[in-house]
Amino acid sequence: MPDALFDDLPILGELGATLTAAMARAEATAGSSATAAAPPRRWRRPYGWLGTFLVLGLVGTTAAAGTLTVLRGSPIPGPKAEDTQPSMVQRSDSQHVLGLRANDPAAGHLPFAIRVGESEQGDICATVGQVDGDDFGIVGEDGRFRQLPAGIVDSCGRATGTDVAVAGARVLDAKRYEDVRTVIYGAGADDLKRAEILVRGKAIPLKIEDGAFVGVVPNYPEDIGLQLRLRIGDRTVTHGFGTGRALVLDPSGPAWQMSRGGSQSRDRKTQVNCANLQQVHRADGTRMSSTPPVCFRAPVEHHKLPQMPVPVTYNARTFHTGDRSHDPPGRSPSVWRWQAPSRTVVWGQIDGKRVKQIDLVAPSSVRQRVRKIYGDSFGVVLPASVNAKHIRLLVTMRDGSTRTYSRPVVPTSSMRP
Amino acid sequence: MSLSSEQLARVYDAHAREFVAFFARRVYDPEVAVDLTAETFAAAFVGGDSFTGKTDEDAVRWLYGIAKNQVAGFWRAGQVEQRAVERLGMQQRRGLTDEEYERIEELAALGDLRRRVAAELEAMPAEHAEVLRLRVVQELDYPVLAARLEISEQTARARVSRALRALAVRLEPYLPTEEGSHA
Repeated sequence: MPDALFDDLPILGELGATLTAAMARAEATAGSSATAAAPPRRWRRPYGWLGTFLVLGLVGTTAAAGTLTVLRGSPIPGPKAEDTQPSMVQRSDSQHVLGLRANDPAAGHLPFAIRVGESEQGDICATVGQVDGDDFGIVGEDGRFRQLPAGIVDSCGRATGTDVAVAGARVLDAKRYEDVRTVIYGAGADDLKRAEILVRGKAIPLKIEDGAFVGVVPNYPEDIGLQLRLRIGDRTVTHGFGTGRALVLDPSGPAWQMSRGGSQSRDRKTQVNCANLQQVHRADGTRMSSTPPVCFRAPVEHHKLPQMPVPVTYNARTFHTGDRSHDPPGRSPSVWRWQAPSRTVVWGQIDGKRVKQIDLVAPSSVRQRVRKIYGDSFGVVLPASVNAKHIRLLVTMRDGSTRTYSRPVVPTSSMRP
Repeated sequence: MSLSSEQLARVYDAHAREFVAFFARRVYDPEVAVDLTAETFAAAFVGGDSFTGKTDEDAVRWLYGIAKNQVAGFWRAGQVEQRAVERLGMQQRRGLTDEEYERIEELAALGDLRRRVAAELEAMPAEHAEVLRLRVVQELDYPVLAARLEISEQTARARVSRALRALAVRLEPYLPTEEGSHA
């Protein structure tokens, strides 16, 4: 059998390995004698699939002994005693890895777990990591598993009766955006009845053991609007890990944030206030994208916020990868570029004193209440399939009247006062 | 003689790429094509007792029978129903990389088909091209489409049907017929 069987389509090699393992399991369960005669599968990803191979306990493999183990590195050294706060020094006899497992979204990776214990001062401590057999550790970006010794602790806290003692979201960065992981964990709640994470508003329940929980999701917390919702006794507690006030979710990629700025004229009589959306971070080496600004000019009034000439200023546009401003650098402060996938974006500013709420309506049953950012700006990022020309804003004013905007209102896109 | 796991693995190694291309030409989606490939081979193992052939060639022919049913099931349900995959406890796979996606499109000659569709749309009467763009690309509901074109909903439905039939006739020489072949 040639080595490069599915070099052009590794997914077929992985699928074949999965199929072979599944067939072997089924035959072993059925007591079929064919299992012992089945030739060993050529593993294309020994790290991931050999884990499954070991679970099956098959014999007769021709794989070399060195490939029958997960790639490992030296254990990560623990902190020195003099560098550790007393409240985070765990009693060695209290530490144990709970039976909870959170499977990585990608196949073939070690599951995540939580190790809990008590500090010398009686605080509840928690550490997240991955398990490989009986070992607790973490897989680094080099693909090697390293044990986490007892002295390494993520966080400690004291139970209050109304919330967990510790709860957190640990981000495991990666070279590729799709390999980034966020591990959500918590421990130390006596009456924890329910734990769930909210990803883009969708609730995902977590299993609970001894008042602790652990879950893992792809991407950074801010890209998925990550929240943790707990039911403790008869109380519901929510923790936001990716829900900043200026954040705007993307349909599937890195989040956006509203950025505001302005400038005054030299005579300090006129000012320009602008808002635009910028990506929070890049995905896979692309430059960060941003929209052009939506601005309004207003006279400077001392000790007062600038008065918008209209209740709403906004722009609605579909951006395609490669779009950019055409002003030469240095000539205009409104330089922008779009390196992200195509998106339809609606963004602008509001006179919060006059506007109560905004609803966005578009064809194909797109309708959503627009969240105000800091009360005076907003941004919505939609799939490019939504036609920007057909977007309408239904604005409800504080005096009860309503206005419908079917075309952008952009007094100016220049940041020059 | 039933189908053994050994024989199925051998057939998979030799023909998996061919099956992925077979599916991709019929569902026009590389991701779905890989899922259908998985379900076809899983279903073959689960139902291996009903295989009456002997040789690997017999097994391939039998698998294509399963594959055709899988394609029909996909279009009927609008999704891949992975009953056999789930029954075997196969883990959920990762998504395709860009390179794999393009490679499957290349195997299925989808790039050529896409260019042919674009060319045929260009050559169609403007009225047909417009209504297909609104209905198929922008996925407008019929009432909205009718309002946009200022026609009745019944007329909108009839116009879309005529346009789709006209496009199908134009594309017929370029669509797949038998397994493994491409006109």
